[in-house]
Amino acid sequence: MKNQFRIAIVAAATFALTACAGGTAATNTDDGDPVTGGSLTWGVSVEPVCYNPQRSGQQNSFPIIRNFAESLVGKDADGEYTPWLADSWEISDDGLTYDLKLREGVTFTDGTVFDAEAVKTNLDFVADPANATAAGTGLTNFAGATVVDANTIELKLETPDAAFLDTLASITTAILSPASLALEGNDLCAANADLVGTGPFILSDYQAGQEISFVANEDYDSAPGYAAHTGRAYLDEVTYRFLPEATVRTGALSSNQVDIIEGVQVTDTALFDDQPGYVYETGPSTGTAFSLNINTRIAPADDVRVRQALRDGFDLDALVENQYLGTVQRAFSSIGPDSPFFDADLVDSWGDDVDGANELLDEAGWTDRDGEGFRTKDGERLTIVVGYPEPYIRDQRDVLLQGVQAQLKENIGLNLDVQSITSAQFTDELAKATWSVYPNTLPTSDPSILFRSIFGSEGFLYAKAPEFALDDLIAQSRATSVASERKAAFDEIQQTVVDDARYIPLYHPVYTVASTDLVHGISFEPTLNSPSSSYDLWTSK
Amino acid sequence: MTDLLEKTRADAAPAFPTPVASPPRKRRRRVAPSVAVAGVFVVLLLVAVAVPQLFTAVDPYRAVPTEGLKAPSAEHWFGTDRLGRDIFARVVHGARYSILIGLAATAIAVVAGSIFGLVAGLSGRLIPGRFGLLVDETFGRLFDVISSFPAVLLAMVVVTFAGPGVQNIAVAIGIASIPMYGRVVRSQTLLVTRADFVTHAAVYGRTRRRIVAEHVLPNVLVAIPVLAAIDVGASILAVSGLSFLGLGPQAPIPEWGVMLAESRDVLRIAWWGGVFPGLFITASVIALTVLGRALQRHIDGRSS
Amino acid sequence: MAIALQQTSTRPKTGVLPWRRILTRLASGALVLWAAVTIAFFTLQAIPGDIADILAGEQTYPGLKEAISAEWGLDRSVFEQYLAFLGRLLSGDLGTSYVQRQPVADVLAAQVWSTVELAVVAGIVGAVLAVVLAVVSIGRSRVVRSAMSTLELVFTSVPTFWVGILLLMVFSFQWRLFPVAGANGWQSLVLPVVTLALPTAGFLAQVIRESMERTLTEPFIVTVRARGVAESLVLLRHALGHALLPVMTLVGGVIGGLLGGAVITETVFGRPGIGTITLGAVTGKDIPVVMAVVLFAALIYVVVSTVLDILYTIVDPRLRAQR
Repeated sequence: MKNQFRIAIVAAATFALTACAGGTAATNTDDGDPVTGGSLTWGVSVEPVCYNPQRSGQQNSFPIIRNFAESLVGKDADGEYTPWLADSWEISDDGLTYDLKLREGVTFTDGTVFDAEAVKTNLDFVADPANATAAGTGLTNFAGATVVDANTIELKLETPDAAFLDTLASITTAILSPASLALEGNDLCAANADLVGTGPFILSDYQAGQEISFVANEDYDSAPGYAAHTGRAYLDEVTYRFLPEATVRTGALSSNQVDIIEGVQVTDTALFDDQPGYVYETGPSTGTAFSLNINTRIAPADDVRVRQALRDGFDLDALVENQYLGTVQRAFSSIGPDSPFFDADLVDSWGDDVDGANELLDEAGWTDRDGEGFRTKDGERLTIVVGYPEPYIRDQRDVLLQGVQAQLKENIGLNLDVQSITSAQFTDELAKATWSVYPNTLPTSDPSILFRSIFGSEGFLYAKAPEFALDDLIAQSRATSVASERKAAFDEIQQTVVDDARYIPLYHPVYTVASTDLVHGISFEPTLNSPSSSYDLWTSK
Repeated sequence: MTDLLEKTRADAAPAFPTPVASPPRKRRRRVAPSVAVAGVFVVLLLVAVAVPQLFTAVDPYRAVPTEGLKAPSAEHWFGTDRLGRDIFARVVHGARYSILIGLAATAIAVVAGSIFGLVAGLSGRLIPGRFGLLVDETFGRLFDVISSFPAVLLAMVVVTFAGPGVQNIAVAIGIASIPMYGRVVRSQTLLVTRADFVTHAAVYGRTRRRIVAEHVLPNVLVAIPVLAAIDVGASILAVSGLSFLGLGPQAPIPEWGVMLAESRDVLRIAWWGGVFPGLFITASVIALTVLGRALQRHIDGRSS
Repeated sequence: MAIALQQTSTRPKTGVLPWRRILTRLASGALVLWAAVTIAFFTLQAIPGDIADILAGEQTYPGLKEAISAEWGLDRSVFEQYLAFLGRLLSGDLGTSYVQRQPVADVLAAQVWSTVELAVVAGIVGAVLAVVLAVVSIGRSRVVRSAMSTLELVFTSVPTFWVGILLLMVFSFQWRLFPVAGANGWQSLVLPVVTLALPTAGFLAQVIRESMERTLTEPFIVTVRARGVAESLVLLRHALGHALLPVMTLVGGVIGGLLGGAVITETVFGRPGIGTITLGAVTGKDIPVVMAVVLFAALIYVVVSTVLDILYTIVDPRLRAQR
């Protein structure tokens, strides 16, 4: 309990130091004084399907959304919470009440005043299960908000929640204009004037399939505590061009059609890393590894031996090394190496045991082979389908899966059928629980929230299947804020899911950014691991 | 484009045999060297389609990541791709996809197109007077529109509803090629139904159906194989194009268009992935076109 | 004397246009367009499944079903829906894309220029190249002519996307002469245009050459040569114009080929355009956009080929004499 009080003090102190804050990981600040004005063009790898921060599930949509959508609380590179739309907060001794003092003088870009009423509207909206927002999982303990006065709001929880501040720092609880939320039958996913936030940029133009551009919000003054400056953004205008092909992005940067790109493919790193005229940065990895979630309710994966055989049947080190050439680490556990909750004990503890895998499959009864060398049982081929939703495919992960597929065929005769599916199809499969294997990473968040999503019975994968869920451990990790206790719970969760092979981590992804050396202020947002919004960027063009 | 060329040739009357009632003569001819080379290549291609193992013992699906992106060498004649798979093996095994799907598409187009063309040609004759002429002209122009319509777009429409995959693009490309055969069959039907011996047969009291079966069909169908032989090349181009766009066979199937698409990201450092599959597509189309034209000349020679 | 005779015998009466022929052409053009639209509409109806579900593709957001029902009038009879559909098209309303949540017309308009730019320039380059290839090979030795023939065969047999890839490898990666992707400035047009122009050139060259060879056997050429006109002028001024006439009827098909080729070329070179839109609509099951693109392509073809048919009828003196 004392810990929480301490956090509040730290937050207030950080606020005082905001003006001179050094910023987040990997900034290039040694380039002289920032220049206000000018414009920049990004080349990004994924076009967002939905621009509503409260609903979008695409990690790559968040760097763009952050330009106009802000959260109550910020989080810096060390994992400390900083002020943002909330100046300070106090947590009661029993951990059930959070008193937030909101920043004054902030307005939404449609003119509405940002106040406690607006915050209450947002939190109530997000927490309401009828609205099916992405942030719902973070607000399961939320008991309600009370407006104390125009700039003070009291948030009540049902049980103590160590992850609550993380939830308030998440982009999924970004504060949108109440007028927007009130629109009937409009999920605010479209990029148009209905989507209003408090951020440093305002949406100015959107061409589907091509680009989206923003202009600076002149009245902006609500920078988060971890930002490199305060006041309006440096840039007058910023454009994000959607260039899904890696070679196209690289080529666009090389020929100066764009100033900065996100997602430099591994084979092009040499063009920018340590090259005169270019800057190359990689971000932190604190979210979940890119992993295969296996539905333990669908045959043949309902047999733990089959899952373990899959887990051990290929040489993951070689595949990751050859595809990513050392730019990423192969994963043994879920949480990334830059997080304080990284479980170092799991390193080198499983995988690449082809003989063992074959024994397991023999044991499980898959002893016959068909014409193509796949194992069969009672005439049925040993097939496990991987349905990879197309909008989430990036970083050549589909190529990695093909490598796994080829090795599994050759080593153990298992048919890993990798398919690209539409996101609507995936939503359908989720609803019917017919999904088979779901490859994914989750944007970084407190691990108790992440694990609730993918391992809990209230999460989106194991909804209504409590017998497979690790609800107790997850709840434990969330109830206490003693770091060592939490880590113990997280370790056990990560160990369990890898042991029974319902979860196979593959590698820890990092975001890569390359730009010309005329671009300055590049950083990665700690709550996202992805590149930050364009707020701190400036150009010396 | 090839089909458009053949359509032009189809319009020029001398390119097609006029209906005859007498049996053809045989004639010996020297085989041009280009035709011989094309013939040999096509034979090898068909062997590769049937028994790829004759050319390579390597498994085209075997991924050896440590051997990724290796340049052509004695061990890997065409180099390896990103996942370390041998490109020569993939090219050989991939032949069956491009060729067989192309053949299937052509077959679908021939059958369906002939039916449509027969119906169109006969109905134009059956409806008398000016209205009949307008109907005839509209049929003709409809065939024109659809056959000039980009086959890629038509195929994409089919894929939108049916989804990607091997069977679907065969059907899609087949549908796109129907009008070409439709027009030829229609014009041949029109030609034939005006020919004397058909009128004579009608005078002698043969039923319409027998006239069609005994006289119209055989003469009409003579034109088809030639057109088909040349069209297979165009079908193969369409198949590989659609596969390149991701609408046909899905990875890891070693279809040549898919292989080219996969090679794009690493072209800067691995040129071989982007060269060999394309070379084989081009060579196959050229060889089939050369053979088709030789066949056409041969048939022309026989009936003159 | 002979010339004068020839001229009077071929010069038509002034002001006499073959109206009936022109009107027939216009009528059948309109008929074809109507047929295309009708086929499109009834194909949609014929596909198994509820039409609202088909149009929705795989989207499921609030207000979707209501919007579809309102726009397509699903509560009315099929015939009324068809009439409403015709009406919408005639007024320029191409429908709404439920995937992108904006009018289809906006979606297309945003990127159509890029495709038009590419297709027109590639068409012109291809045509010019074809003429050059055809003219150069006329009357030359067998070696030259068969070399030309082979070149044309290669041009029409090589896959467009492969040419694009090869050009990229050499000119963009190796020599850094042209940009890898995008649509900014003339530099980014060069490689795509070359890629798209080659098959057009190969095909047209064959046709033009054959047409020229036929033309050169015409009597009027003999006359022109007898006048002592230089051979090159014979070719270029007298024969070429005449030879190009029948080619005009093919332009519709050439445009079809350009549109289809543009789809692939845009993908290879990362250019925005109708091709990119269509591919996205196909994978995203955006039916309204796919339908609109198909109808748009049909419209272009019919308009161009009708105009050219009419021009051909007007220009060709042999046809003018017929009433």
